Amino acid sequence: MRRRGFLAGAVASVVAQPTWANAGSPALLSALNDTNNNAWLVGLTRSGTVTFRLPIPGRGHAAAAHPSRPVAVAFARRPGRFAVVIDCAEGVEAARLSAPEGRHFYGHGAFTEDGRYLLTTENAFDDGQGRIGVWDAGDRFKRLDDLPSGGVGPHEILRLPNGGFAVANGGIQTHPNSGRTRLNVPTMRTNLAFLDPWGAISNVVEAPDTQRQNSIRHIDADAVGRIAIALQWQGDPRKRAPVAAMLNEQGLTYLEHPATMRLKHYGGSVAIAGNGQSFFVTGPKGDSVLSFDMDSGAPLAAYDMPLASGVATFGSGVAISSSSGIAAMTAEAKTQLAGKVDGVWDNHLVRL
Amino acid sequence: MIRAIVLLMSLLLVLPVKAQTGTEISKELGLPYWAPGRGEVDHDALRRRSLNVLERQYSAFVVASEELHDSAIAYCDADAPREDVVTAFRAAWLAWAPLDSYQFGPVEFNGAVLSVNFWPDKKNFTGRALAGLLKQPLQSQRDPATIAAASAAVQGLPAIEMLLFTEAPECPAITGVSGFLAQMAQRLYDDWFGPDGWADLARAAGPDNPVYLSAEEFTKTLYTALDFGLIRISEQRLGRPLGTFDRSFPTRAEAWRSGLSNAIIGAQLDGVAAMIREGFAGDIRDPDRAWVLKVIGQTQTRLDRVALPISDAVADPVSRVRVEVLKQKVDALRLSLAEDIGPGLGVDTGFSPADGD
Repeated sequence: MRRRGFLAGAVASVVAQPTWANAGSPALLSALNDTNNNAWLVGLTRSGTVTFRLPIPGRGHAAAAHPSRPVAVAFARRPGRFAVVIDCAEGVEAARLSAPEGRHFYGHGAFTEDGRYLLTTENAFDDGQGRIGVWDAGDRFKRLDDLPSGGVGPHEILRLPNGGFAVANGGIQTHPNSGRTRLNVPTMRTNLAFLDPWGAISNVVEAPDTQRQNSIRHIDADAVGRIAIALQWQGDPRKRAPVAAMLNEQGLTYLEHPATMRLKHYGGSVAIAGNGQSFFVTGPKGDSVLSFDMDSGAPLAAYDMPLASGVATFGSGVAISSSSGIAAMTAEAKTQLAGKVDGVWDNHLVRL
Repeated sequence: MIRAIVLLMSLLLVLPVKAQTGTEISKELGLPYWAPGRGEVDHDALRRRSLNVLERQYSAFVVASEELHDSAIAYCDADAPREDVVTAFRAAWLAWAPLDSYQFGPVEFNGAVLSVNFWPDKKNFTGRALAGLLKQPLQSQRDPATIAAASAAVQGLPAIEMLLFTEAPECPAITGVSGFLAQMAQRLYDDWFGPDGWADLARAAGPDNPVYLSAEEFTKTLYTALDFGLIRISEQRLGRPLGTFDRSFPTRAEAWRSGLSNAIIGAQLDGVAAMIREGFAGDIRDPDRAWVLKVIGQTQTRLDRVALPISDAVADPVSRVRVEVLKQKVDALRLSLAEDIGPGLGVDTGFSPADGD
């Protein structure tokens, strides 16, 4: 494998590889479901112009963008069995990943820093164990290996500035036989696992006992490796529970916000503002967005945004997709990037 | 001719009649009749009736699991006949069968899907966990607290079945497991229908409700649950043992050891019919409701025609066809539900990022 990697590098130095500029230099990716139930992967520039809109075979969840080549992997929604590798410059499907027997994807993935491997969060459902699939991006996305995720129900995986990865182990056990039913709510334990650049678990941060049912599902990291977390409470829905947390040198802190309950226990997605001063948690079930101070964790503004779902770092702030389109937000201002579309932006915005 | 008369009579049966008060009453149900005269679904009324159906089904499971526990104690401690335990076991599983469709709320937050019925069990977790339990001192085997602390695989009906229908020593483990099962049944009932239970939460549907933002959402949850129950029958209860024509998997049938596979499917279908007949009731146009109930009846007939236990039937080319026909009928029933019940309830099953993930 090492030798093959070197060979690929040698070829790359001779033949000019296409870059994201060949795909119109999109700044954001998102899945879109149109009114005819067709699913698309859409690239958007900094000004909100659509650079490409390519069909995907089923309802999309999140996507993983290759660090240099114009290649994106669009994942089916949990419990998806497929992921599609799209050459965004040529507008063609370059490869298709299907989950091995006994596995399904959770809808998220991340490339290694050098772009050689793709890591995917997976459910080994007969054992109820979370796994990280490893795919060879240099060899038509052949499956190479799989590794423990450090918990149950790994959802978002994120590459960190140090080349390692953070994995949000949501803690929820599901099985395709029971659809989306959560099977282990009374005993679930969510955690945030850290992998080194080679995929080995280097650290696992367990949720405290009172928050073990508050599923750590979506995460973002800033340049120094601080993590912002969006939570989804799985315990008794009548209890009050935080929807946001952060992990820094002081450890894992759960954050209060006066508008917490507006999100209906459902933090849909999270992103840190480009200036690093705040982070935003979307609430598609509560039609709201909450913001928090990145240093102190103090609550900042709450916004009304119908079906606010995807959020990604954008400029000095973030971009947020909602039923009224995609907007750029900073602590001070909101600018519409893209208007309403004939469909629904699904779940996540991915920054490039 | 006779067939035409029967058809005419069955049509007359479902036609609404005017009550003296001026409110239309469905003769079949003795309940007020709204749609389509009113042109809209009364989700509050539908919820009230549906909760009655659910309360009856959850309550039946409490009674049946208590009887199972009592009969296990009588058998292990007082030499009562083993048959009584087997009968009570059958009743408990058939009481659970309709609840298999409703995997939300208290069932979900008590982890009851696995705890009550750990199935499918591809890797024999139940057998392995049971072997561990049987190594414990007899006194702790009979203690529901031991079971509560053990793997979900040993907490419910499949574990009891394995105790009753394999060489494993039944007593006293069967009293411990059935004791835990009875506690779980009671907890599910209380969490649904006790003070501040899930039923109250559904009744309080509205903008500030943490789960149901409107009464329609509860209707949608019920409708989705019925469809889910039919998927479970088609894909798990029938599809798994059917396998492929070249290779069937008799021991993948649910409850094959006790021979309850077919009866469980029948009881689950009865549960779906009860919800449509008495829960959705007059909020589904009478002809639509009658049609779907008729298709459920036809499905029951196909089930009867299988004649053999599903585990036996799938292994033989001739009887296997009857299981395939049954599966096709269940799939057709799902289609009827989607065509005749879903639109009538006005439940939008379209995509939204608020569906969650």
